[in-house]
Amino acid sequence: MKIICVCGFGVGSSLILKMKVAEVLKEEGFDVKVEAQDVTSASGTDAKLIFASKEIANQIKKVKCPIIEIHNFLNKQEIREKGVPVVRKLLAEL
Amino acid sequence: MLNQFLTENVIKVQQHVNSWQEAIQLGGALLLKTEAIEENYIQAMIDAVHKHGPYIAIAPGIAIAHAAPGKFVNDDAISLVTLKEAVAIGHDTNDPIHLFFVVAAKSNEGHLTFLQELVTILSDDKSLGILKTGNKEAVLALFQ
Repeated sequence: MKIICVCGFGVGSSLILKMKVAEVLKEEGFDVKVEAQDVTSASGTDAKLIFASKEIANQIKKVKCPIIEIHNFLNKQEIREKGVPVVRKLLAEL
Repeated sequence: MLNQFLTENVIKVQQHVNSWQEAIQLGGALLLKTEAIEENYIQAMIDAVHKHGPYIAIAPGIAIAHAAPGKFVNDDAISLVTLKEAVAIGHDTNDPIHLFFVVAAKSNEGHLTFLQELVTILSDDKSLGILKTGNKEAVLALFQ
């Protein structure tokens, strides 16, 4: 299952978010691939789930997969609380 | 690895600025001096906030300013400006910003592995406290 973290250019903040999301999902025992991507290419993504800031989420609303908005990219608890139930549900549907 | 990037000449601590734009300009100027970026990169970072919103504020008090990889970038680089008085960037939950990192990447391959080390430091409350209030010596010591 492909999960992407999105920022304006896919090299800075999304990379940081990717590191934290991957850390949390690994701790939770999920075997998923997390990538960082820029907002333009993310609009046409085939990912099953997106993590992004509120601002970026608003710009890619049309994507087919769920988007999880993260306020604090360094807060593993926020990522865990918002992300884990969704990842679990998506994996169950595979 | 981070200590090879966040060196003495690309760190300015306890600065006074009037706006987030000024903070980005200050951090950008450090990388302009090392020739890691071209001058246009600085405006591109500011334009990116106008275009995509204040999402560069990744956590309370912390902003990671950057623009498109490749264009106007000569070398992978990062600089740091810490502020005596934090400034707002218009983020709902992460304002005001104390720490401005400027990041430049030569390509979009997600290769900036030094960010992993940075994330570890930023995730530690004690280190974060030193970053926000510490002098240059204390800040530099964090990256060693």
